[in-house]
Amino acid sequence: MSTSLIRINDLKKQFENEEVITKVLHGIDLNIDQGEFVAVMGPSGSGKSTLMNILGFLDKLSTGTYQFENQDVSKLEDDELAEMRSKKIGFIFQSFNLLNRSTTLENVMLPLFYTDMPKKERVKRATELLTKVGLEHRLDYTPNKLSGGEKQRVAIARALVNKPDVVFADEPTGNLDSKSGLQVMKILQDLNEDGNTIILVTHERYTAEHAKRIVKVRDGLIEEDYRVEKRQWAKQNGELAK
Amino acid sequence: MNFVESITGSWKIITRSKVRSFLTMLGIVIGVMAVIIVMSVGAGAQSLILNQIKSVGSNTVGVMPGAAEEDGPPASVMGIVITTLTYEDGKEIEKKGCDCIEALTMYVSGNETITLEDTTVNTTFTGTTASYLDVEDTSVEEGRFFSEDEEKGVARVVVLGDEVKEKLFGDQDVIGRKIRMKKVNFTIIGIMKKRGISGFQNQDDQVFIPISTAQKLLLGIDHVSMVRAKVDMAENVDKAMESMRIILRDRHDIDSDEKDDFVVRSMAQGLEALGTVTNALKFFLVAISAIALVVGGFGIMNIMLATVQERTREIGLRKAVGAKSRDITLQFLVESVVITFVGGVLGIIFGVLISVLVAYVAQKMGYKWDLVVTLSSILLGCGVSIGIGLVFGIIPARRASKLNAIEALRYE
Repeated sequence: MSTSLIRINDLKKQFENEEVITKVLHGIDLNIDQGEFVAVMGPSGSGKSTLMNILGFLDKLSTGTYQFENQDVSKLEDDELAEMRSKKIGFIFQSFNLLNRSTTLENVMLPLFYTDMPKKERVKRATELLTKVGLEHRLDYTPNKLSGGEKQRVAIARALVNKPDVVFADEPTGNLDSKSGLQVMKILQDLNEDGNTIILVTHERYTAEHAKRIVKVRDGLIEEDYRVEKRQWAKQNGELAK
Repeated sequence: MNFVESITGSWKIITRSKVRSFLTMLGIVIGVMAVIIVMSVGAGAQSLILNQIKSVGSNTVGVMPGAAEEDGPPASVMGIVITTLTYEDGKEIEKKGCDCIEALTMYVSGNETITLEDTTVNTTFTGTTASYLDVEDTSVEEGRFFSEDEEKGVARVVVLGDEVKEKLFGDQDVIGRKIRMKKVNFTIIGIMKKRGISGFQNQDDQVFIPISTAQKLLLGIDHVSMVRAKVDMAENVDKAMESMRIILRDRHDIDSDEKDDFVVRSMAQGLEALGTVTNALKFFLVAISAIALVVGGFGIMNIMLATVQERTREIGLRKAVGAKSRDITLQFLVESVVITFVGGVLGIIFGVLISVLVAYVAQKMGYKWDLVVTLSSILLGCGVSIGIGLVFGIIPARRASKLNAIEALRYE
C-alpha cells in the first residue's frame, strides 16, 4: 500500500474583494498518494487552478483541512508556505516563466538560491538535471535562444532541482506544438515511472489520459475521480504510441 | 539566501543595461560630485583667502579712519573719503605706543599713468614709509628702498614692482633711470621682490614712492588712508591695539562718552569674521548640493518602482520557487543600494578629479590655493549614497515583496 501524500477534507475557498465574496471551491475531499500521476481536469472557471494553488502552497484555504505528508498545513503563515514551496514542491507553468536574461543553468539553479545549498553543489545538481532532460549542450544559452519544447524542459529541470515530493504541472503543453508537447509528457511519464508524484492540470482529455488518474472539477466540486484505463504513452521522439 | 550573491546578482542586472543604469544613477553621481566639489573647492577658496590674509601678516593691526558700526567695516572702506587720520598720528603711535609694536607703516594710494619716453603703463602707486618692508615682510630684489629722510622730504624716488618693471623695461637695467608720473620725474632706486597676489592685490603691479611725495605731488592730500603696525607676538596684539586707541583718542580730542572716529582691527579678528562667513557659505552650498542628492534619490525610487512592475513575473516566479517576502525585499533593496553606491563612487571619482583640476588651474594662475579633499568628504559621499539607496529603495522593495505570487505569475 502506498503512503499518503496529500489529504484534503471539505476544502472551501472564497475570495473576498471589496465586499464582494466569490466562492470558488465548495468543499473538496481528495487524497493523493506518493507515486501517483493525477490529472486535474475541468473547464476554465471550474476552480481547478485555485485548487492547484492551494495544493501547491501558493494560496491559503478558507476552511477545511489540508494534510501534507501527515502534517497539518491548513494554517501555515506566508513564510512557512514559502518554506514548503522551497522544500517540497516543484512547479511547471504553461508559459515556462523562465528568466530571459539568465542562462539555462542559472534558471535551473534559481530555486536553490533560497536554500542553504553551497553554490558548487547547486551548479552540479542543476547540470545533472539539464543533462537528464537532454539539454547539457545548452547550459550557457539564454531562454530566448531556445525552442518552446526546450524551454519547457528547462522548466522541468528547474521544478526538479530541489528534489520535490510532488511536481505540479499547470497546462505544461498548452504553449507547445503537439510534438514538443508529447516530448514533455514523455519526460513527465518517465519521472513518474521513477517514483515521482505528479499532479497535472489540463483541460485536454488527450493530455490528461497520459496520467494514471483523472480528477474532474466543475463548479468548485469534484465531479468525477477515476483511474485511466486506456492510458496514452508518449514516446521519446514525440510520436504517438500505436 | 546568500547576501554576497545578491550583490553580484544585482551587479549583473545593473551592468546588463549600462545606459539605463547610468542614467538611473546620474542624479546620485551629480549630487555626490557636487558635494565633493563644493567641500573641496570651498576649502580651497577658504585656504586661498586665509593664505592671502596671512601673507599680509597675521600679527598685524590696522587702523582705518572713520567710525564703524559694531563689527561692521569702517566708513573709509565704503568709499567715503575721511581725512582724520594723519601721518603725525602714525608717528605718534610709533613714538609713544606699546613697545610690542615692532614696526609701523602708513599708506596712501592711487592710480596713475607712468610714462617712459613713448611707453605708458597704468598702474597703482602706493605712498608709504621706509618701514614698509619691515611691516609687510618683504624686501627689494635690486637697488634699495627709500630712506626715512626721503619718506619725509618729498623725494622723487620710486621703487618698481616686478611686473611694472617688466612692462616698461623688459630685461634692461633700470636703477638710476627716470620715469614720469603726473608730470613729475622720478628716479628709480629699486625693484621689489616678486610677491604675487597677496592681500587681494597684485603686489607686483604697483610702484612705491615716499608717502609725502604721494600726498603732496600726486594726490594733494594731508591724510593717510591706513596705518598698519606689526606686533611682536600674537599675545600682545590686544595690548598694542589698546595703546593705539588711547593715543588716537587723545590726539583726536575724543571725549570719554564719544565713539572712536577710527577703527583698529587686528588680522586675527578679520580672519575670524571671514572664517564665519566662508563657513556659512560652504554650508549653504553643501545644502544646495544635497538637494541634488534628494532629487537623485527620487529618481532612483521612480526607476525601482518601474523595475518592480517590469519584473512582476520574475517576482512571482521567485516566490513560487520558495523566496520569502524578506528575500524579495532584500533583493530589491540590495539592487537600489548597489546602484546608488556605484553612483556615489562615480560621483566621488568625478568630484575629486574636478577638485584636483580646479586646484591645479588656480595654482597655475598664481593663487595660493590648497587642494583639500578630505577623507571625511569621501566617506560622507559613500555613506550618503548608501543611505539614499536604502531610504528610497525601501518603498519599491516592500512593494515587490508584497506582490501576490499567483497574480504576479499571471501578470502580462
